[in-house]
Formats: sequence, structure tokens, C-alpha cells
Amino acid sequence: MEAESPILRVENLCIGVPRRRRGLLSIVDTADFQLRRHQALGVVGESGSGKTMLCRALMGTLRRHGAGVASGRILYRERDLAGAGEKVWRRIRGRRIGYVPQSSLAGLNPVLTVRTQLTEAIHAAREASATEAEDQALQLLELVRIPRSGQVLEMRSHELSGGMRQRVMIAAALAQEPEILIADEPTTALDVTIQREILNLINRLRERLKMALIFVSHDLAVIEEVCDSVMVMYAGASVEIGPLEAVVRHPRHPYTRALLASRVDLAVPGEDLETIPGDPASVGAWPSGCRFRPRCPLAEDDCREGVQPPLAPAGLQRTACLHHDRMGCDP
Amino acid sequence: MSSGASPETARTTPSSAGVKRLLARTLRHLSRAALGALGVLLVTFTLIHLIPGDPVEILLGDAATEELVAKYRQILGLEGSLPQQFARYLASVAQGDLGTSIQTGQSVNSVVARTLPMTAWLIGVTVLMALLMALPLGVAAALLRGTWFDHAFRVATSVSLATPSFYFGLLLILLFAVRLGWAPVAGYQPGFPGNLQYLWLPALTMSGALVPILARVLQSSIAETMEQEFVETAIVRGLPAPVLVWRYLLRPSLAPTISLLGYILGQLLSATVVVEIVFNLPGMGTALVVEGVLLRDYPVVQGIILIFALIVVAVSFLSDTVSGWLDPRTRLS
Amino acid sequence: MKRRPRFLPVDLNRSALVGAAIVLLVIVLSVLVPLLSPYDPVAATGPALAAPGGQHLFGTDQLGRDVFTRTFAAGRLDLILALVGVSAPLLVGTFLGAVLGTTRNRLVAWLWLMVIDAINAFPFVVLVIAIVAVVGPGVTGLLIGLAAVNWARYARIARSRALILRNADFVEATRVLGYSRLRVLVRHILPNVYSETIAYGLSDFVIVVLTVSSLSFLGAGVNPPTPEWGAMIADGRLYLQTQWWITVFPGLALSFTAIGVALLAHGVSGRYAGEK
Ligand SMILES: Nc1ncnc2c1ncn2[C@@H]1O[C@H](COP(=O)(O)OP(=O)(O)O)[C@@H](O)[C@H]1O
Ligand SMILES: [Mg+2]
Repeated sequence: MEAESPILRVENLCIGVPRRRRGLLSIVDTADFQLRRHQALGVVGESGSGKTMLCRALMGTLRRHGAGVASGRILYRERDLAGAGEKVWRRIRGRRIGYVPQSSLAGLNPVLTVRTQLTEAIHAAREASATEAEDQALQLLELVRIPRSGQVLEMRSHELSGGMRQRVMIAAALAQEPEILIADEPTTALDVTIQREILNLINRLRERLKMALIFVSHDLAVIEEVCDSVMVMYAGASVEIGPLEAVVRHPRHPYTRALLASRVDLAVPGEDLETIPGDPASVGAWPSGCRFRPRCPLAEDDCREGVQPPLAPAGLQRTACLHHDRMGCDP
Repeated sequence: MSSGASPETARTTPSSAGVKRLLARTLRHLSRAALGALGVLLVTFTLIHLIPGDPVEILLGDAATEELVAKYRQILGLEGSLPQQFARYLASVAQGDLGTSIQTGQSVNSVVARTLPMTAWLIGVTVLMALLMALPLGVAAALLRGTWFDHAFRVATSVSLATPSFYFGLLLILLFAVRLGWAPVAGYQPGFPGNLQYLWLPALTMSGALVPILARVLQSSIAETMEQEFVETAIVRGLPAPVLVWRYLLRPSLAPTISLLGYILGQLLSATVVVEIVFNLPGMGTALVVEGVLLRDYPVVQGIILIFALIVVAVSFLSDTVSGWLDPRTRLS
Repeated sequence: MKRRPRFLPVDLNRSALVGAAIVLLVIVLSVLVPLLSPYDPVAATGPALAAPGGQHLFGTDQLGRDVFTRTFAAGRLDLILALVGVSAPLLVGTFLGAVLGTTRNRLVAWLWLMVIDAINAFPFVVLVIAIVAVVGPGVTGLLIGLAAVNWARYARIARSRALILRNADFVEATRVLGYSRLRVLVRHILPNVYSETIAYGLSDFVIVVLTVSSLSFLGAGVNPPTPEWGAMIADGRLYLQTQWWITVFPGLALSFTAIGVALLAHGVSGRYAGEK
């Protein structure tokens, strides 16, 4: 294996919302991962686990949502972006890191045509004549497999279906040929058949454009379609990370195992689907020690203590569980 | 915005379905507008004729003999029942005849022809001036929410709204015309661009009522837009600030402001009347007050009201069209 | 948040408090001006065009009348006129609107609605002027003009409120109980609708007080010797350059009143909107 240095390294990232007189409300705590070129990292976790906030941290838009980086580092090509100003971020956004936000069905400007929104993104990256930009816009639409791209170019958001909007959003995110594409739940709001098409599209794009991908979803099955490694988040922390194969085959965190067990697509007909007992830990009310403890079958007294343990190395696959050696082999 | 904007050029060829839709929309708007004008006409006609006080007797005063009254009734088209009178009036209006002044015997058409251009100029200059002031103010107030600017903006707009235009106008005259000598005090001369020197101060006076409303609506409209998902998208695409402000904040927020402008402009005609008097401008408002109220020339009043009604209708039609052009979402309904 | 005991029917926030204080000040001065000032508002009581200060706090006008006395005598008239100009249309318009909102006669409701919308779309002051032109200038003409135009706004508000109420659960329930429609209208719909239009009435007061003075300024309202803000400003116009006090003080009083009522309306209607 090539000893290539990663393009993105997130180290012990903590995200918090400052509150008046009551200190910092922690939303994401110890997110820790690396992204190499061409890697496709899936981020999975229940809704509310902080996935979107993590994405926003990587795009530098936390402040807009009343939050900020509390500690930790976001190293893009060895440069720390955690405390970077707008000026730095403007050069990163779109050009280096493309982003398809979560509710991207509402992500297109309703008063502008697709053409305007694509060409302005192209112009933001480089000098280009109007015709050049337009040609590139057409190419982008073809790249995301939009039929009749000439007509779609003149359309506005309300004239497009959900799947088409998502494709246009992806096209716009690719307009500046970023090194990394972050897609936050890009298939969640879509029909099953459209979901599949979008997943196929993302797969093809990744191969063709040789970019790195961070793919966020609450659904592990979707991540298995596109990613080669996965990070599992629970209550704002990364609890397990590793190659997809390994994590799915031999989960080393009880939460990952529970996630796998509750997968709809693996359910044996007739048998009850396993659900995780208890409620997800909510922001501001995280238990001490391991946050999964109240719902964990393996919990012991030592799980209560101190803060959430950092990810312990276990080969390529790392876990935050103190008792991972007591886990069974298969889910 | 050197490379930020691309000219919206050649390749745009509206489909025939689009043209049809546009036509249908225009027709719908126009028919609604026509109905509205008819409604206003009916209402003013009824109000004017139902209200106590017989115009003929007022006109003739003590000299009113029966025959004389009857004769004048006929001249003024006042005989018959109210619906008959209205029908007759409508018929003559449809032929482009607004009637004859009681006092001067002039045709009302000529009164309108003499006074309408000046009033139209005043409205036009006001709208332009008000938009030029309201746009940056509204944007700044939205972007600087919660700062001292926002507070100052609130106070200033409240004070401005509570100041009657005749008083504001007088203060402006005192400052700009009398003290500084930047504007003539009287003696309007038609003809562009010379008329602008007479019109800018009246227009500024009227803006005093218009700008606060427009800027506030724009402010809250932009604040709403800022919450929209597509603004976040624009930010993460790394778009330059001018593109962000104009295309992602202002343009989606402009439609409600323009629709409102259509409505307030109707109300602004009230200020036109007052401001024309304050600045000695020979427009329709002055005609309404001098010939209508002081000389009690009701055919002139009716004719001017009709023209005002048409202006209201035209303006609301125009603003609907513009806001539809600015925001395709409103075209759907 | 802790609820304070209520002395007044409204929660007074800062905006409402400041507004109320201003309005109260104007009212008190207007009512007490005969006691506060030794001068007659309509008679010459000093040298003409005397500057503010000394014997005449706000100076005197071209006829030697005391501007202070006249300003607050005008205040009394303007406030009363505006009060009548608001309350008469409020009472009539609200009732009409509530009936229109509850009636089952679609055609009649539609016709009335067209008239109401036409009046509302039309410039307010222009329409009042048109009516004054026919009735004749003066206090009577002014009040008739105001009433004839202003009811339509209240009718519009009342109608939409009544439409909502008509379908509200508690009204539905009374109907099931077999109450007559008249009784439902009077006992259940009207009180609710009135509370809505009264809230609007306060901000309408600003419009009306400005209209009253505008019309008087134009010579279509209160006639000259009677002190009235707009008429006083029209009177002092010629002396604006040199004897500014003749126009500036009544104008300030007018703006001050308008701001006060607007603040009060804002504070109070904020509560209405929030309470829903
Ligand atoms: N500005 C904020 N203030 C307080 N809490 C917030 C804020 N933004 C997000 N949160 C909370 O942070 C948690 C993580 O949110 P999010 O990142 O959207 O989760 P996910 O994308 O995994 O569903 C949620 O519980 C949400 O309520
Ligand atoms: Mg999310």
C-alpha cells in the first residue's frame, strides 16, 4: 500500500454552540478521521448524532448556524482550517471541497435558471468566457446524466423533479472540480429507484473524476453501496472507524453491531427486526464516560468513568469501546 | 463583478407554451384590473351621488328656480335614476369623454390633459428615488440586524412614518429651497430634464413616506431569505460576495417588495395631492383640491378620480408583472 | 417568564409604555390648556409675530394669537376628530364585515366585497377629498368623508376574522346546540371580531389624525380661525422663513402624537398578535 499522506485529517474535532452564561453546549466531540485521495469515507449515525454539523465544520459554515469549532484540528493538505477566516474558506469552498448539503432539494435558488447557477459557480473558480462557461455547464449536466441538458439549462428549481434537482446540485458542487466531495444524506429525501440512480451516479463520478468522497447517511446499507471505509458516529463522537469490509464483518463497537442488526435489508422475513433499546442520547444530556453506555449490553462499571475514551488502535479498524474484545465475532 | 455575471444571452428562446402562459396571465391580470377600475368608478359615482347636497342647487345657490335647476340637470346629465345616470356616464367615458366642468365650461379631458403629465412625472421620479434609497437601506438593515444601524433604522423609519408629508415638505423647502437655494420654490416648467429641478424636492418629500415602508418590507424579506437553504448552498459554492448579495439575497426578496410597492403607490397618490399643493405644482392633485373642493366642481372631481383609479389599476398591474418576472414562484399561482 | 399582576388590560412593553406616556402628555396638555394658559386661542392676545419665550412660550402668530394655547387647543380638536373618525367606521365596518363573513348569501357578500376592495385599493385621502368636495368643506364634511371611506378597512379585517371564527370549534359547537345564527353572531363572533378591529383601530388612529390635519392643511377640513394643527401649519406657511415657530410647534405636536400612538399601537398589537 502506498504511503501517501492524507489530504484531509480531522483530529479530535469538537464543535460547540456558545450559550449565554451557560458555557459551551457540545454538539460534536472527538470526531477523528483521515481522508486519502480517492478514498470514499462513509459517515453513519442516527439522526442528531452530529453528522451535518461535522460537514458544516468542514465547509467553514458553523458560524452561520450559531456554532463553532471548540477544539481540535481540520488539516487540509497540512494546513489547519479550524480557525481560518472567511477569506481562506472562500478559496476552499467549492474549489477544493464541494458540498451537497442535506436538504438540497431546497438548495437551488428558485429565481435563477440552472444555467445561471452553474455558470456562476464556474466563474467563481476561474476566468472563463460566457460561451466557455456555458459549454462547461452543459458538460456538467451530461456528466450527472441529465437528459435534454439544453432544455434543463433554462429551467428553474420548481420545474425540476427531486432527482433532477439532486443531480443539478451535484453538478454545481462539481463545477469547480474539487478534490473532495461531501454529500450529506444525498438520497434520503428521494424515492427508492431514484436513490439507486443517484448512488450509481456518485460511484461513476468518483471513478471518473478521481476525487475523495465523504458520504453521510443514517443508513448503513446506502453507505455500503458507495464507500470503502466507514466512520460510525454516536452522540457526537466517532465510535468506530475502519475499512468497510472489516467494520461490517467484525464490528468492534456494540453500537455498530446494533446498527448492523437493525438493518432492514438484511432482515430475515418473519423474524422481528432488532431495534436498539433505549433512546438516543440527546445533545446537552450526554451520559458521562461512554455515551452508549445506558443502551449497551456490554456496559461495565469502568464505562462510566472519565470522558469518552479516544479511538483505540486495533489494526486498521479502530474503536472507542473498552470491551471490544468481549464482542462476538459476527453480528 | 468582473467575471461573476454572465450575460443572459442568445440561447434563451421561450417555448410557445411559455408564451401562451404569459399571455393568459396578462389577460387575467388585465381583466382583474378592468374590474377593479369599474368597481372604483361605481363606488365613487355612488358615493358622490348619494351624499347629501345637490350639486345643482349648490351651483345655482339662491338663483335656483325650478326651470333653471331642470335645465342644469340636463346639461350635467343628472336627470333620471342613479343607474341611468351611471350608464350614461359610463357610455360617455367609454367614448373618451369625461364630461364638462360646471365652473369653467372646459371639458374635463382638457383639465386632465393639462395636469396629468406633471403628476405622472412626480410619481415616476418618486418611485425611482424611493427605490434607490430603499434598496441599500433595506439590505444594510437586514445584514446589520441587531446592530446600532438597525436600531437607528427603526427609529428613523418610525419618525418618518409619523411625520405628515405636508409638514415634512415644508421643512424640506425651508432647508433646501430657502436656506440652501438648491431648488426653486415655485413656477413649475414642464419638459425633461428641466422639470427635474422642480420635482426632486417633492419626490424626496413623498419618499419620506415611501422609503420607510419599502425598506422595512425589504429588510424582513431579506431576513427571511437568509434562512433559506439555497443561501447556504451559494456560500458553500464559494460564490463571490456581490453575486451572493444580489442574486441570492436581493433578487429572491424583491418580489414581495415590488408587489407591496404596487399597493402603496395607490396610497401614495394621497401624498401626491398634498405635496402638489405644498410645492405649488400644477398637477391633478392641485386640480382636485382647487377645482374640486374649493370650487366644488364635481364633474372634474369625478374625472380626476377616474384617472386616479386607472393609475392605481395600471400600477398594480405593472407591479404584479414585474414581481412575476423577478420571482417565477409567484407565476405559478 | 414571571407574570406580573395586571393593572391594565394589556401587557405594557417598553414601546407601549413610551407611546402611552407621549399620548398621555398630549392629552393632559390639551385638556388642561385653558387652565395652563391665560390666553384665548382665537383672539389676539399679544404683539403679532413675537418670538418664543417670555410671555409667549411658543411665540405668537401673525395675528398676535398665542401659539402655545392654539397648539394644544388644536390638540383637543384633532384628538376628538380622530377619535370620532376612527370609532364610527370601526363600529359600522366591523359589524358589516362580521355579517359578510357569516352570511350564506354568496352573491351579496361578493358584491359587497368588490365595493370594499375597490375602496381600499383607492388612495385614502383622495377619496376623502372627493367626498368633501361634494359635501362641502368643514368638520361635518370631513367626518362624513372619513366615515364613508374608512369603514371598508374595518369591514375587510372583520370579514376575514369572522370567516375563520365561523369554522372555529367553539362556534361549530354552539351551532350544534341549535343556537340561532343571530345569537351566534352577536354572542360569539362579534366580540372576537371587535377585539381584532379595535387593535387595528389604534394604528388606524395614526392614519386618521394625519388625514384630518392634511385635509385641514389643504383647506378641506377644519376652517381657519378654529385652531387645528394642519390649518395652523397652512396659516404659518408664509412666515416659514422668518417666524418658523408658527409652523414648527403645531407640526411637532402632530408628529409627536402620531409617534406616540404608533408606538402604543405597536406595543399593544404585538401582544394581540402573540396571544392569538
Ligand atoms: N445551532 C444549534 N444550537 C443548538 N443545537 C444544535 C444547533 N445546531 C444543531 N444542533 C443540534 O446538534 C445535533 C446534531 O445535529 P446534526 O449535525 O444536524 O445531526 P445529524 O446530521 O447527524 O442528523 C442535533 O441534536 C441538533 O439538535
Ligand atoms: Mg443531518
